[in-house]
Amino acid sequence: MNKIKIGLSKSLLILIIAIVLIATISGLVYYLLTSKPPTEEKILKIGLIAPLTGPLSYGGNDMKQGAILAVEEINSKGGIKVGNTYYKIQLIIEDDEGNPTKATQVVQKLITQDNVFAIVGSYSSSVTLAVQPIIMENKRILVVPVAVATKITDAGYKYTFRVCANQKMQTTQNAEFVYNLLHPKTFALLLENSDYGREGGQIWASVMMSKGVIKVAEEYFLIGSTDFYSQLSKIKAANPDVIFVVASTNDAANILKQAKETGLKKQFVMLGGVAQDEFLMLAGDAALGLVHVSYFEASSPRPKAQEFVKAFKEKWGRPPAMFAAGTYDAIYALKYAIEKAGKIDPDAVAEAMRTLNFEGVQGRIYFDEKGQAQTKVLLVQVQRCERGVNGLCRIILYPPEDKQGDYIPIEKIQ
Amino acid sequence: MEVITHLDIVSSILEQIIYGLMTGGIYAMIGVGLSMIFGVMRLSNFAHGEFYMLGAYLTYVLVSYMKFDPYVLAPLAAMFVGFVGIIINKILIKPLYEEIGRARGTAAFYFQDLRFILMTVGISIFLYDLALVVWKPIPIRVNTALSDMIIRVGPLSFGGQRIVTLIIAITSLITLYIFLKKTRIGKAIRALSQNPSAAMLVGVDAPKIYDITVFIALMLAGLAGGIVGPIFNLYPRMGLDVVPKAFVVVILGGIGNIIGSIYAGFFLGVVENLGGYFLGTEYREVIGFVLMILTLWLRPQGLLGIRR
Repeated sequence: MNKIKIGLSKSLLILIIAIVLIATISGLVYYLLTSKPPTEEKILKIGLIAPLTGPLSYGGNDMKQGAILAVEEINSKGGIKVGNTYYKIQLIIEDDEGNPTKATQVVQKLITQDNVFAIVGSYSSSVTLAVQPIIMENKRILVVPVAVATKITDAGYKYTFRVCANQKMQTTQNAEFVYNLLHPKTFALLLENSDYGREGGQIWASVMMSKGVIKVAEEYFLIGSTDFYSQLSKIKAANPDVIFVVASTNDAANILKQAKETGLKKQFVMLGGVAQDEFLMLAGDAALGLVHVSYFEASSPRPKAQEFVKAFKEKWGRPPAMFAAGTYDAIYALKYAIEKAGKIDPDAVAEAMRTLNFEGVQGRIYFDEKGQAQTKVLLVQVQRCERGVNGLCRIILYPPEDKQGDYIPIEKIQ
Repeated sequence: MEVITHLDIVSSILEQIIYGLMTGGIYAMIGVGLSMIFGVMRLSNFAHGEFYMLGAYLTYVLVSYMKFDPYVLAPLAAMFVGFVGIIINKILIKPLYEEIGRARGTAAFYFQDLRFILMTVGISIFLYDLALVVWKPIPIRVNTALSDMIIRVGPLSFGGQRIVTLIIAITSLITLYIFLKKTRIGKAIRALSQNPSAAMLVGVDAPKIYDITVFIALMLAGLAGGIVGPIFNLYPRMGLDVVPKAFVVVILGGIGNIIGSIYAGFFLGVVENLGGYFLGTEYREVIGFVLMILTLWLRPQGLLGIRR
């Protein structure tokens, strides 16, 4: 009785297995046959992380709009061409709130749920440094459009690229430009007491001192402190030719206003949150004559930049800030690299990226071994002009291909 | 304009002292209110900076509606902040005092600090977030006729706004001083601050004095915010940035010693600047707190205080 039962069920089992096998094989054959694409169009997923809410949301939304514009342009022209196949980009946008913890969550979601090929982001350096290891471990391409900490590309990750100049590059270019322009004998530093301020001051000072310029004062302030009379008074007593400042938007505005009040009329040079209209609003006429770094100016006469500004204005009804420009270039860098690699493979694309050389909206972009774009930053001076914020404009002095006007000495500027 | 020539050491130090008094006036205006609330009500008002912030923003709102100079409208905004303070006191703080009156034994002991601290911290967070929502985190500039006025005395140079601010600070603090010394209410405030039970025994109406104290203290904070706003720009964090200094002032002046905190405010401003001048400005922000710790350790009655 028992034996017969076992025998029966055994043959039943074999039958079931056979049916399943046949079904699977035929299904597979059917899939292989049908999946030979009748249309040569596929989807490539790219993630964007940016601070879309919270205090940094102004920059984050600028990034988002730049990315959407780039993706729509690429898709409307068919997409990314890999061999004979066209891949349409699907952009997945996540809000990191400028917070490393939140950013880690959304990056994990992008990798595990959405399975993106590449990630573009983010705005702040601390966020980017926090998510970078996860992205690298999972072999996704990371293109950094805005964050400037030198460490991000200096760590030498294979899949990390940055399309904007890092802190070290922009500070060095700033110092060299200022030296060639003014040939100062002495300088003073006025720095926010943070990593960013101290690193910036150190790099700038080392360039100047290597050229024989003497440091006569080095003053610090706490981020968010409002009263700079004490520091400015010490600098005034030291009487330098040029003063280098690293400060965020409001601090920078206060420093220039109070410098004017305390009678410190010297050439100020800056780095940091001053390359935006909001700064000109706050500082007003006190900003006149200031020389500082910018990554992108909507007024740049370069054709590629003008093309971008026009398209951006049509789409969003306002001129782009530098964050949109960086993000737009990041998406295009990915497109060019994938097309050059000829396959959707992180290793091949990373290799192709390293040999890329293209005209971006920020200027000519090519990468070094560490994935850092070798770009020129813009050096601008705040001068009077008719259409501008508070009657003030940023006039591009350097590089030559973007140049809009000449430097006006601080004594002559009115 | 001719560039200022090299300053000698004497005029440098003089300049630092004058700038220190200018900053100190603001410290004193904020600190004295905090000290009054602490002395009279035995309450650490962690929301004090938010009323300074509120004063600045209300001045800005009035300026944008009424198109007058902020220095004219700041006192109006300050009065308003004072009334907001009375309302908050009546609705949120008073019930806590009534409850503490009923509490007995260890409950009274534990209850005392914690509920009050949490309440003022809560008010602080609420007002800060409110400002973020209403006025956004982007700093705002308030224009005044004095913006471009610069006064030069020999090699020294000051913004006109700073001088006006110093004058307003000194005037309001002298008024407060006379009020506390000469009027009945002023004397009642000092009495409550020095010995609450004795004061109540001789018939001081404590709840009424609480309201008056809160009004004066917050009005001063609001006024400080209103006159400083055009100099430093407005942003929601401005209160949080300044309030630690106010606590330093309270402790240097002697906890509950209202007159002492007026002197302490000016003292802190000057010491910070001279410290920054001689030690290097990276230590400037630390100096006040080192002084605070030393005071708590060696002279808990305050720098000018008499041991009770």
